[in-house]
Amino acid sequence: MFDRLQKMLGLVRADYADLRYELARETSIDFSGRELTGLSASSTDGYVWRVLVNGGWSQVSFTKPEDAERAARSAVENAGLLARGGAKPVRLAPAPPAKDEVHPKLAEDPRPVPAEAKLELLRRYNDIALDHAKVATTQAAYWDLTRDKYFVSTEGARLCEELVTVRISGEIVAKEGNLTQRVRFGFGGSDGMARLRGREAEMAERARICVDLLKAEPVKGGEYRVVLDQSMAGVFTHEAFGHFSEADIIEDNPTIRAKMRIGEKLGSDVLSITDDPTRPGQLGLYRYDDEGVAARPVALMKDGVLTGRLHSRRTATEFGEPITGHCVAEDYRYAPIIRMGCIFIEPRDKTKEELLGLLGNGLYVCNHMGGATSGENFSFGAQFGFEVKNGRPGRMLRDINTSGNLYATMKSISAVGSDLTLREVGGCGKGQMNWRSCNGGPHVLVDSLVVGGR
Amino acid sequence: MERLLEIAKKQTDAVTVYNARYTVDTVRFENGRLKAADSHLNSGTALTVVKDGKQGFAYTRNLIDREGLVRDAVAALAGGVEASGPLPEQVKLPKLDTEAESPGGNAALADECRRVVDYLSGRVKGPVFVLANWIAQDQRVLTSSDVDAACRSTTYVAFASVSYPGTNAGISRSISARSFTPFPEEDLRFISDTYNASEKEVKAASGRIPVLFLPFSAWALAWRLQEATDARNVYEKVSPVVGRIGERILSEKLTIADKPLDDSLPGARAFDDEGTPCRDLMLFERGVLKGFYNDRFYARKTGTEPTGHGYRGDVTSRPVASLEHLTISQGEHSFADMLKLMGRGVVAVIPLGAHSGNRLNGDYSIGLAPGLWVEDGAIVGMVKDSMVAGNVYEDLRNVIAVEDRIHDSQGIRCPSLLLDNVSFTTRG
Repeated sequence: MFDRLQKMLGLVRADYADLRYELARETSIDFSGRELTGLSASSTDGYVWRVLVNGGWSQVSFTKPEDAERAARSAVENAGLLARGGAKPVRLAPAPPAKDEVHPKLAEDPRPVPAEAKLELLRRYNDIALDHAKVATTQAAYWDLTRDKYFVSTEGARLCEELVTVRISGEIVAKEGNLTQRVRFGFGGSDGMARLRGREAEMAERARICVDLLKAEPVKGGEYRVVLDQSMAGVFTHEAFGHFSEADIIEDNPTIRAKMRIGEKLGSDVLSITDDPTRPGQLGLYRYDDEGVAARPVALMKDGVLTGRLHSRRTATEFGEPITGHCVAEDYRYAPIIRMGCIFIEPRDKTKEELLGLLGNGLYVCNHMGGATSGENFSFGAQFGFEVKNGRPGRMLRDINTSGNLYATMKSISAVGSDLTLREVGGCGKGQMNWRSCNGGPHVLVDSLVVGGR
Repeated sequence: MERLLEIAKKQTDAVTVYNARYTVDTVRFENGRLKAADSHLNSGTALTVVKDGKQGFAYTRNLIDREGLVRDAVAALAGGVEASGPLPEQVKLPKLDTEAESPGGNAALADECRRVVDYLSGRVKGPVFVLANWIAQDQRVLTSSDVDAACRSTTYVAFASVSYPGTNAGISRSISARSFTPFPEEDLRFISDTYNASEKEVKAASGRIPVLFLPFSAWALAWRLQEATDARNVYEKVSPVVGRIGERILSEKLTIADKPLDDSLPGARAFDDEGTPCRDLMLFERGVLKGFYNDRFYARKTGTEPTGHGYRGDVTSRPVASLEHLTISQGEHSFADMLKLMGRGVVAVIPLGAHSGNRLNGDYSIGLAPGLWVEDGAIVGMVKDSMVAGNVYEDLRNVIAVEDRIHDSQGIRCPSLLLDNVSFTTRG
């Protein structure tokens, strides 16, 4: 394989070039209610060129090997256009050209497991939800993906890394009269299929929550003190703060870039945030990113002070900061961009009960329902929550979506729990989908968040 | 494709081969400066086989090993997925005008982006972002029932925005067309005038007020209606409008239809990705529910005719029902008229968290990025940390006005919508 890629690399006349080739094998199984709607196992592959010519930096993906030369020509032409057209000249930060082969440690490799066994596993979880009287339907999916990534560069890098991702996920819909409610479920990871087994109790709990939501009341809009559970803390960290830690997001926005200066005190004293793709046993695990740089943990915030940033080789030069190994592509269809690997709030010392006691009156907000950011503003949804009075969770609430300002919210995190939990199902859609994007945190107390409501 | 069809036919009862090839050229300017010029040359083939009433599916990007692809699809039959039913029959399809000449690669796109940057940079203080895409796509569906449908389409997409300091939120417009089209001056003027009028941050009070949903935000509302009219949710009896055909669900100011045959717009289609002929489909006519859309699987499940809405997001996906040409009809009011009709209220420009909330139930709760505050019929500034929330089946009955122009937004075509009595929450 390397010899073939090395030969292709010879097609390009550039100051620097690299070529990534991926061979992927995917199994997917889908239920809609009790109806099996899909089962497939497919193999596929594709390539991505990146070239640097006179400071112009361009990327072209292609799927047919016979298109390699045409794609290389396009990349060189695009790079020339950028160099001539006033684009800021690109210089790549130095990175040792790695030669390595990496295979994950798996607790049960999904590849030899027959599709029928995967189907029965999914059916069992799906039935747990559907056996509930008020559950009207489900969407349930099994998915595994193996990617063999090969990377060669004109600097001499020669890497092969295998990534294996498994997941069971979906949503449960409960109905009573005209009211429908839905709750998501999901478990999985990058360390083998064993992670998908023995989750029956969680599935039953998700179905119970969904049915309970039929009796929940819509939240009243307003400004609240809230305790966020681990899932909500994780999505806040990812959406609101994490994307601002990605150098490519802020590099061309002068005011945000000025604000996100290393050494600035941006958060409360109890807030420390790390991104670590190398942390074992978590969804986002990898050793090398998609430009061949070894990944490393990055302390992004320490006690409220900004201490680090996530980089590609290009942005590391642009910011004059060290490379971190965070330039990652969804797959063979895309050039890599800067992504979080595994971002989380570092745990402190409070129990959940202590945080609720500190909250007194407010909301306990649980289970994220996705999020979005627009500069310093963010919004993220919750699947449910509880009204808290005198430190005790009471009636269940639904339709919770929060909005806030990153800087104000980071300063209003007044206490952090000890119970760090990392997400098992990813899905960050920054231009391309990163299913291995991992985030998490412990419970945290936030002194002010805007909650939308009727 | 023919060889693949023949190999698969020998082992199965029915076969559908879908092939797509596309090239994409992209140019991006950030903060007024050329930033990226990239390209994609991608292709892929999907194979669906049916045997003894069961269905198997497999795909590949690079059709080298035809036997291997057939082997994967045949192996999937063992799962026991129920087949969608009979394949579509060969019919004469309308000829649509779907392609135009390339504008001349990324160099031509860069020239147009630069023109837009120059226009906006001279009129606004905030960072200017401009993007242009040229997409050329070939699609073909070949079935063992003798359907052989192919189309080549081209799409030009351009997007321009100006951000407020400290945010990525701002004022934007996007256009799409079958052929290269200069960004209209009317849209550039909208961006600069609206940005300049709203640059100042103002405080507002929470309450129930009129809200003007610009097309991007109106898409968040339409998304809920797309879920409700999906035949799958009708079959599962979880759609809130199941059994309500002929009933007035929305304001009579709203007419919503899917128009795949309208080739004045890019991406017109005479057949869907299953090979079913496309047709225009009315969903809500003057607020009255008229129909649901389906793919062949849920057409059979619901005992209805296929509507021609089986689309794949990519060759890696089986076809599922999807509204790819959704259009909300235009009304009679200009944007300026709508501000006057509003008097005092908020303009929802870009929704944050449109996917959040219980969409199937029609609920929405979206952050405004930004919200523009309106007093006495004029924009006086922007509000931060604010949200609007409600339920589309209540709020889309309270339509005050519909804009007299349709815009492209997130894959749908819609005008701005002015709704009354929407819950607005802001800090303070």
